[in-house]
Amino acid sequence: MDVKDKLKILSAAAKYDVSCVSSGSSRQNTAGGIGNAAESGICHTWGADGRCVSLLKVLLTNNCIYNCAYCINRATNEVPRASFTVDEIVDLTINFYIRNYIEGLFLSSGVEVNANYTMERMLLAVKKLRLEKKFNGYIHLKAIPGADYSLISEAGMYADRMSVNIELPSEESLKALAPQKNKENILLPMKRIGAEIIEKAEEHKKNYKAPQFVPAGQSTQLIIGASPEPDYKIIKLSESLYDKFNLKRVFYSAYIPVSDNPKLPVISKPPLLREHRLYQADWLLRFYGFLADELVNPARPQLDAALDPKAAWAINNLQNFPVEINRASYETILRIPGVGVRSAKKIVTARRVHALNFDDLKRLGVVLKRAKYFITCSGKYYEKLVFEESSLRVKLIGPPPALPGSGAAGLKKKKEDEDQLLLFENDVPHDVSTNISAAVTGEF
Amino acid sequence: MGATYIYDDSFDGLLTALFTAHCAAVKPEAIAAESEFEDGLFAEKITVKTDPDMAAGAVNIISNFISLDAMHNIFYAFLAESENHGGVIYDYFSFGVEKGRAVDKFLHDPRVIGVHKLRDKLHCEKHRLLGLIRFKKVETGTADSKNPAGHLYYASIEPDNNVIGLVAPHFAHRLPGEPWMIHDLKRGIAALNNGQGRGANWSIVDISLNAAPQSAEKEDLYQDLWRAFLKSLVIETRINPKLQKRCMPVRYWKHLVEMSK
Ligand code: SF4
Repeated sequence: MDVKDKLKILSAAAKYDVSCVSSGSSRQNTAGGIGNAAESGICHTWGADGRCVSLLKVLLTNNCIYNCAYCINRATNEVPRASFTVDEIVDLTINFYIRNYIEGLFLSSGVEVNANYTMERMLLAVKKLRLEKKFNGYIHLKAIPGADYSLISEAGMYADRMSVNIELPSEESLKALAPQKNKENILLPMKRIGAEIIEKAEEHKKNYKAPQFVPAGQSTQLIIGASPEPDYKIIKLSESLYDKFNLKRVFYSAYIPVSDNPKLPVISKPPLLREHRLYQADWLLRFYGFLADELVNPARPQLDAALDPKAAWAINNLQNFPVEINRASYETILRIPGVGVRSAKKIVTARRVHALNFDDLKRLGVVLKRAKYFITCSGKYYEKLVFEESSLRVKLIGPPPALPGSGAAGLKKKKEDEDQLLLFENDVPHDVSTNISAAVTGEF
Repeated sequence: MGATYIYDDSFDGLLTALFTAHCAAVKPEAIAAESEFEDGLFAEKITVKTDPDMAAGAVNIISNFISLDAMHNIFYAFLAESENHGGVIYDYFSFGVEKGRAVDKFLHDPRVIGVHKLRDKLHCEKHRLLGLIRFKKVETGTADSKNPAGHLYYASIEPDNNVIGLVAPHFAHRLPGEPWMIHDLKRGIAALNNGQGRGANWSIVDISLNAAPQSAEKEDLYQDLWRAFLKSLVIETRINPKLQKRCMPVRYWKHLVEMSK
């Protein structure tokens, strides 16, 4: 099999891993070497699905001995199989990199022979790149659950980022759908990588010559909609991963039907809107000072499909509004629906020299579409409005649909609702849709 | 109606005009580059002769009495493509002289917004191109002392703004040991790196090519592999060409290996 055929198989096999982020590392070029890493990350192209491509994302092999139900590479699935040689990976990485196609390599793998065998071969590839080819571009390496920690730890000396995918957000789902994996196999390496990142970063701070360990941090991925966990459970899990394991990113991947296993849900298309809402909620946790419990709770376990999570929080917490633009703290301004980090910073800067009115806000580039219902400028409202949940909801998303009837009419109605969702998705206001790509690329 | 100062399109020319205006008892109505000035019936025009000392005087005023950020903003605004650099920059400069260091806090003021918008336009295109530049390995004839590698990594671009001077340092850090060239076809200039290792080994040269350079061995293979890779990476259930075009405007496609045939 030639390299092209392998590349086709092994990139298709890797495409459901959504992480393609190249940020967070500022690895320098070394004497006689090639490449460096850009702290802020760089997108190199966008696929026909609109996803940013930044790394050569491939599996070392899709010849997997495991049989995870949600995965196209599971042992019992009939798909073409291939394995790269270490030299093929190295050659592709270097030649793509030098042509500026990519920021670096994202190497993952199915489990061939056993976890240690696979991890050893991945380690060989990154060592050859770093030591022999003096490659200083970005490397994201998957840690294979079940491999000895000594191998994972050694790989961490060469990688910029490492990840272990949790995939299913609960132990029960793991047991049902990925019987050969277990919670410990996944969480233990994450915990140890997390601890070693902190330890090595301390040493590096004291002595800049001390080797770096996974400088761009650790990430993971959760599959959305393959198992029954509600958003509440997922967001709580992410929050604790950020807090306890010191993760840099949690990625969410809408489940794409790849199997007719009866344990998996039957869906016609991936739950993209739900995935999008989860990314928005995740963003609120990391950059906007929100706690998971403010966004979802056992009584309201799902995020609002029709409203972004910040707007949904706002109309359920009207006691916090309106916010006076010229006086409120930065943290409070960040909580206004439709106001992002950039806009909030501009507001607190500009108001130091000038009392801002609504026209000023527009000139600052603040999107008022949603924000206008929640703010005052020097005591003035944008327009006369009834300050209560139901009327604000109508203002934000239009009148609620009539209750679906029964029988054929009900079915038709349901179909329309689906279309509406779709429409909504394609029709999101500009700032939100940039966030879609931002969420997926990782940067605002 | 006051006079308009005309400068010679160079950055030093612009700075000279700013300095002249700063010292003048009667302020000019506007400042404009020669190429962008349209003769009006009533406009009185005064041509400013570029003078390095006066330009240095303007740099001094901007960096010391306004701020280094303001200097950066003015330079970037100058590089950005626009109908009316001179006017926009002059307004910002005058306002800066009045407000000093605080000028960039007046984010609601049109005089500040004008320059910031141009600056952001440039930042945005620069960052975009760091990803979208595509090098092709081309033959440069038999290797000799002037051409030690016998090949060159060549990239052609047609950016909206004059950005090669801003993207070149990125590649100089990244690919110091390779000879490469980034060729701005629109402006007939190129950033050229000699591949002699780390340090500032690149420069900007005027250039015109009569024929497309000859691809080196295996170049077509890697281009082919790259296209194959991107094709199999797409998730069919998520196809979204609108999003793709918004992230990567069609005007850049011509020079992208993966988007051109
Ligand atoms: S271990 Fe499971 S998820 Fe990973 S490649 Fe194998 S079957 Fe797929």
